[in-house]
Amino acid sequence: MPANPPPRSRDGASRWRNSRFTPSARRIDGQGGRARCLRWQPVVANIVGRGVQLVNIWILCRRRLADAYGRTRASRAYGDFNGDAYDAKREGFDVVYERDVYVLDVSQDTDRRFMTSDHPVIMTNGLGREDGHFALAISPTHLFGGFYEPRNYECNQRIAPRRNR
Amino acid sequence: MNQEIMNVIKGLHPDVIVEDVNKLVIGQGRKYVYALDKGPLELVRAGMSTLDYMTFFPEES
Repeated sequence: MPANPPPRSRDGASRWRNSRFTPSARRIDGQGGRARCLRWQPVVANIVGRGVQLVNIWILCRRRLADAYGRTRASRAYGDFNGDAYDAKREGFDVVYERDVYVLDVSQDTDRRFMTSDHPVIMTNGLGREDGHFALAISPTHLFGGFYEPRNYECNQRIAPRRNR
Repeated sequence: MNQEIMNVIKGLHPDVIVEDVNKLVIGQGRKYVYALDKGPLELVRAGMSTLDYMTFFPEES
């Protein structure tokens, strides 16, 4: 078989894998992004279905993250980072809580600080439950979270979180 | 329901929240764990990679 076989001569498994992982605008929404290029904004926007508002919050989160842990490290842990320089005064990012998104600020109440890792998202066993929610430390003092929302059940089903080992 | 969950979270002491989140984050980490200083180094070495982790993405092959 030649080094780069045409698609028709590949076996079924590789054709299925390539069809899921190949960059394709049609599949980004349905599968929650490509495997090798982490597109967090559409993923998170799908989960809680908040659209523009959540994407804005998420951009602020990433700026704060890069500010807290260093731009290079944040880039390595969270995929590409192309935000502008973080300006706390301009962002005014103290408290956000609306129906299904919240940001906890613990800086005034405790000396302990959040940590992060290469798998930073913590969540209940599946987001499709009535009490399903997920959380993510976005800075040493802030925790970003999202709730399951029944009216977005269809969006949640399309994500299908997987348990890896 | 969301309001109930939020009330539970608000009812927890911040120390408990930070501690629980850190425990989960350390346990889920496979390669890197980031913190502000090296204070929790022993905690990281003891607990790293001990928990399953969830991901939104299909597994890379």
